[in-house]
Amino acid sequence: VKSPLRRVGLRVRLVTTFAFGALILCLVLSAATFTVTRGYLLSQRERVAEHLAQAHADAVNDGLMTAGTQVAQVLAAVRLSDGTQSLLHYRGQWYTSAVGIGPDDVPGELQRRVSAGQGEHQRINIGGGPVLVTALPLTSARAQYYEIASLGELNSTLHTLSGVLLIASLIVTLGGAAAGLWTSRRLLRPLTRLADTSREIAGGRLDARMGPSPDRQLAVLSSAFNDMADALQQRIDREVRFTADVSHELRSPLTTVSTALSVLEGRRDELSERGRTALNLLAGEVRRFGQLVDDLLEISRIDAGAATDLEPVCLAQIVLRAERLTAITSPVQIEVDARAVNDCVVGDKRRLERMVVNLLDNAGRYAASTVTIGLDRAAAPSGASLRLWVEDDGPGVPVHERQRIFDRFYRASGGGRRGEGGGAGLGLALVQETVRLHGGRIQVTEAAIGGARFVVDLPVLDAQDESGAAGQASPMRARNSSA
Amino acid sequence: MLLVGAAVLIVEDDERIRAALSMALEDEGYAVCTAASGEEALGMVAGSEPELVLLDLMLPGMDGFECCRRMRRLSDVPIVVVSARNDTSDVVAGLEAGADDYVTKPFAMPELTARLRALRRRGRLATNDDTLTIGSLSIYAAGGAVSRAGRPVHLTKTEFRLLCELASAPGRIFSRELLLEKVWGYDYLGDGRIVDVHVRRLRTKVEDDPAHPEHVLTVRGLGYKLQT
Repeated sequence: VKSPLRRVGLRVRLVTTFAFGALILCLVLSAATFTVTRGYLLSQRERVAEHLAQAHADAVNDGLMTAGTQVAQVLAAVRLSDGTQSLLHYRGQWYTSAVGIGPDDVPGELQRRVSAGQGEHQRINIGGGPVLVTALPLTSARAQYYEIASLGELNSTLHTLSGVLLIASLIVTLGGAAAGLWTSRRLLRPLTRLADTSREIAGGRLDARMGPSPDRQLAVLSSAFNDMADALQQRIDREVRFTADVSHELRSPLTTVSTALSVLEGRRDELSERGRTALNLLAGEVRRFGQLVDDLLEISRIDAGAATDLEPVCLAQIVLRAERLTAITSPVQIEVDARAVNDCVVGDKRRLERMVVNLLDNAGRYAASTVTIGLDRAAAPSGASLRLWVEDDGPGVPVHERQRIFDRFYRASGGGRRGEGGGAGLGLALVQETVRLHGGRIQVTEAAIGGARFVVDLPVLDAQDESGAAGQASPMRARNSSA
Repeated sequence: MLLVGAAVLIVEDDERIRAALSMALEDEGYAVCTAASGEEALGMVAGSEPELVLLDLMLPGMDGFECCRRMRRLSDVPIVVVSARNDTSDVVAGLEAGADDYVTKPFAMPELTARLRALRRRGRLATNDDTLTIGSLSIYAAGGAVSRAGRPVHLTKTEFRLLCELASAPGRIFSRELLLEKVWGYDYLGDGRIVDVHVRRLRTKVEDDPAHPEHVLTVRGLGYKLQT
């Protein structure tokens, strides 16, 4: 079970720890300071009080011995300091320097000990305030002299001191919390950078790295992270390069095969019925194989983040020629909205053509009789977009497969007519990658004519910023002017 | 219409592709000769003057680009480069080296023969007998001659066809797709980069300052036109 502290963030934990530590430290120091100061002040005060009381007692003793019975006068003759009163027990009578105090204020124990001839002092509370009672026996007069000195002043000093210490503790605690916050910021800064860099890498910028760190311990972290990213990038590069190499290497034998095949096709008449059937099989598979090799190369190129040739591309031109681009057997119906005829998108023409071909091939593979391709303008949340759609009247795509159908080499569960037309392979995956590359969206729905409807929305290039976008996006222009 | 016996030189180091391609082109009625390396090919171009060259870019020894450049110095023979990749860099470099067209492996035979047919058509001269004068340029279509400020300009057949096409309607904007169709014989969407490279090459020959063309102008986003 995790402790609740572990669940809160590192920052909160650090702040709390620092503040708590500062508080404990302050309290201990304050308590020590208070205790020592109080002890010192008290003992000082007691010494002074005792000293004075002794002097006063001597004077009273002398007075009693000489003046006879005028006890009150003797007592009054003693000049007491502020806040100090005296009591005298003489011949069974109590005398006092002020009203308001009496023998009841002196603890009985103290009275007994003084009566036994023992000088003593004691701190007690009278009338809500602490006082110091100094009791002295007057041996020659056979009397007991008490002096009651108020400790109110000392007490208020100590009060002030404790107040100051408490406020100081609070300030230091807050300071500790601030120090904790600052430390956590400092500690977390490289972690924040690490997180940012990780996010960048995850977002596709594989060459993102952490900057150098001045701190040695953190430099270890950042260099370890960078090493990991390097290794990762190398691995990805290697895989992408491998895919591209495989695709290239396959091209030579494929060229031989398809060329030799065309020789055979030219001599179709010389073949037997069986031979012709075999030839048809061969031709279909070679075409499919060629498509797969092309798709493989193309997808590896997209994976590698290869630069695209961006230029304004008129989608209507591609759509209107769609039938000539594809080798499918079903008739292709073309429906281009008049408003979309001149609309352009900024993109890679070759890849966009490829996208259209792949969508048509896919539709042709499942269509019962018709394939329809269309283009119109669609209102999108972020401005206008061009909507390209391809429909067929085949079995359609079940709802639960509409996402996964774009996976590489995804096999539809139903099987459909795949056995005849060959697997989707990479075609739709490539379509999705191309759409993503062009900042568009693709989805599969149900067509009105019964089959699948693939809808591609691409951001349309506005007529007014066409010149600007074409200017920066068109490598063709740069090529032309730098002859 | 195919002229029987048109000689095609296949430059390809892969023996099997060479064999298959020879068979396929012979079936189409071409007279085929083959070379396994660039050096061998240059000798054959100098010696037997083939009508078309099919040149693989990845050759051992002298590579296809270098071979193409040298061949261009020897002859105006139309060259189709065959590339195993269709990356921008490879294709453009091949065209820059002087090729007239390109195909990528694996190619479909109908596509290749369409390319070759278009190239051979380009060799044939126009029947129009007029001489067109545009600025300092005079184009004598029937004679296949172009001169700038009185001095003859040497154009390859493709460059000449391109110029004639633009000159057939001076001032009209030709899209790259249209030019591909008319000059290169593409009946489907082709690669506009072919047009761009050829226009650039044409400019170096017919313009006083190719960086600031006065005759063959770019109409941004639309295509090219010949300034009247």
